[in-house]
Amino acid sequence: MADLGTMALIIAALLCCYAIAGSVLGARAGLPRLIDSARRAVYLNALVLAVATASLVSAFLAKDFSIQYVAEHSNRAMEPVYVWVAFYAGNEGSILFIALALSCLSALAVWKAPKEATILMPYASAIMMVVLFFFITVMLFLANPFATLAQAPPDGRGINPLLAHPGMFFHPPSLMTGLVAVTIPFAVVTGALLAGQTRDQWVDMGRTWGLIAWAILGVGNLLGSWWAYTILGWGGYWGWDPVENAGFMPWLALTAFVHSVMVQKRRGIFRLWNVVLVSAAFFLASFGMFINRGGPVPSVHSFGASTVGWVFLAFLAVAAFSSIAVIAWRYNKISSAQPLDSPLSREAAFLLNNLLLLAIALVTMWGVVFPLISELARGVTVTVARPFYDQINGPIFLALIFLMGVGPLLPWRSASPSDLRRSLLLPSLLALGVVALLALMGVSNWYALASFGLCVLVVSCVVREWVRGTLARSKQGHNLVASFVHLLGSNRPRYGGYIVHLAVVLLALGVTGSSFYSVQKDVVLAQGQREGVGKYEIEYVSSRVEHKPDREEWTANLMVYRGDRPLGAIQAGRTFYPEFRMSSTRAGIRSTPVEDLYVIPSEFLDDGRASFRILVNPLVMWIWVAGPVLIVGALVALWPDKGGVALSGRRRPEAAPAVGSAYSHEL
Amino acid sequence: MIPLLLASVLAIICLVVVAGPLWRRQRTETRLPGEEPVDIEAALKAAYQEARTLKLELEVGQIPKGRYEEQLGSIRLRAAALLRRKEGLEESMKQLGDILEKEVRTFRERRRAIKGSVDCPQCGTKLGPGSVEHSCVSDTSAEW
Repeated sequence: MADLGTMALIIAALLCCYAIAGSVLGARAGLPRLIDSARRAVYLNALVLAVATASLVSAFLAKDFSIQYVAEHSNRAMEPVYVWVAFYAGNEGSILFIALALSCLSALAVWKAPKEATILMPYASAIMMVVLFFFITVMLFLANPFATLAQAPPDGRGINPLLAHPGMFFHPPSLMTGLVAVTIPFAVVTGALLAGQTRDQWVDMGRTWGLIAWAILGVGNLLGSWWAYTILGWGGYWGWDPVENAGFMPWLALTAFVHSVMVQKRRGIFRLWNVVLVSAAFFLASFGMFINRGGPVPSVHSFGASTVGWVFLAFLAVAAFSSIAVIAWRYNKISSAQPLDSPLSREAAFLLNNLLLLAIALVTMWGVVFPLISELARGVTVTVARPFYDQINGPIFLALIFLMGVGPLLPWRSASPSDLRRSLLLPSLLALGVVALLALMGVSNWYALASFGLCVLVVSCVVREWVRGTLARSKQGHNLVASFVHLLGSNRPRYGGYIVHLAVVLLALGVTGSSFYSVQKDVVLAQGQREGVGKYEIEYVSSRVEHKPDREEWTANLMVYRGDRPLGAIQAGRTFYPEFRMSSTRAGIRSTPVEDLYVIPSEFLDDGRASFRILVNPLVMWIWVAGPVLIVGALVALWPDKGGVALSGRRRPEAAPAVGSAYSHEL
Repeated sequence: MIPLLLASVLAIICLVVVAGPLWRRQRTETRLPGEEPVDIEAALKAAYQEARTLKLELEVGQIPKGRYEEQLGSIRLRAAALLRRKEGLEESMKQLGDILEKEVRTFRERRRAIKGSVDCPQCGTKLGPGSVEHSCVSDTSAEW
């Protein structure tokens, strides 16, 4: 299997070289047959890398410990279900996963490329293949997942205990796929510049792929938070860890891009800005992969650390230099002379939103690189922790939520202050009413009050537009449900975006509740003893110990009461892995829409007592609810438009009337 | 041995699939300099979407009726100009096609007059001097 895997990687590298040369030469010399042939090389790369992946997975299943990677990341005691996780548990396997994901996404992008992108596609696919070639070369020369040992050990080391968790089936794949998916919109935009397509030919395809990468990355970040919440055992879900930030920064840049690209699509402005944004997203994603692999800053995600970081840093530098050179070369053609019509318009709101998002990305970046700079310049190791991010990013997030409320009320081109005042009146009154109510109920923290008030403002603005739009359509004879569905369908990017705004509101609720009103208590309990936390009482009922070949598991059974009324039993556990000298915890969580009761066993003492950390985290459930809502919003925004425009923007032949005749009745 | 065999099969499959288009008949693509119909179609689509959004903004009360009429008017003007450009481009494309067709016919007739008879390049049929209007199944004037 090792030989087949390595040979598949060599074939993939050759295919990449051919695809790059064929695409560029074919485009330059006007040879469609060569472009066609190069396109097939792009498709084949997905197949060949799937063969390499299958080789590695089958080596895990066959427990072929002659392959070093298999020996280091699995053992005979590992449950077969974790083979998928073990595949990307280490540096070499994760690069293979990234290469596979990029090859599949590239093939899909090339296959579904719209008619408008015909000229730019050879250049775009060449860029995708350059990036893919980089990953394959790293595997072949520096981090080969198929490297063999001179003598196969009788058993492997086993999978990293922190990875033996259901969240690991989805979180690393979605995060890695999201990071590498940023390559596609970047390749489309840069390919367009190289091909001389400096107007709006790339907009539909760039937006679609930007949105896809954004959604995958967003879900990956959320799944990572869920994993951290349930297994890392510190009671939180986001610690501003460098690796968390590495996934968050490109997501912020992509969020700015998916807003800003709508302005280019709608008004033909912000061309240069969009090119810069998508390039920034690509650099931040590449920087994220460097942080993941290079390990230059301390992180809880040390399982991905390796010594190939410098190669990623060099790649990042080359990519940045090339991209800046291309932008400088085409600067005069892409810079837009058309100004904003009014500072009070949707375009202006999008621009402000972009600036705030980039400000958060820059602050986060500074927090990530400052320890490196400090160590290089002064030889002092510093850690930038949560208070720094909370103090600086917190107010910017509040400003962003405010903009999420006001932005949708603004029309394109220009709005009059009186129209805006009229539109804002009811939502503002509602928000102020809720703030007053919360203040009467005892909520006194200004940040929390502002956050809850702004959340109400956003929701009421969205609902206001939906209600008015639905009522306007119902006057045409439809019932209310049909009118609402018709309204959503009438402008999917807009209403998909509003659904995503609701997901952000849910996130904000969860973050605000758990950040300002979390209660924590450390207790030591004997069996049968009770302790009160908030309005709950926790009884330590019993415990059990299980000795397994690779680990020892302690489980505590607890009963939760409110007063004397039993609410239910929860289990919390702690597992020790001697091979890794590492412990992992399983928090016992009782989750309701109002709050989570969260119990972590800290230590099981010899006298039968156990120490627990008990937390009451308000509104956390809404953070996890936000994930599916975000996906629904992204799908609505991506869904093909009426009239047969497919995902890619390509029109189905049977529904392809001439544009003029199809739309003239609307005009 | 088996991995080597599998890898060889994979390499051969790749070679055959990639080389496939290179053996096909060369189809030259002529691209006219300047604006293309696809660009105008995209601009028309954008104008249509702009009108739809404008109507939506009116319905949800974001803009007053007066501004709606004013902006719709400017979109209509832009769309009309685009349609005129599209029609003009289609007309010139048609004229170009006619000229090309005429030149191809003249060339064929002249060649027949010189050689007496020629083989049809598509189906291989012998064409006499009089068979000017020969048409075969695979005949596509676009490829000429």
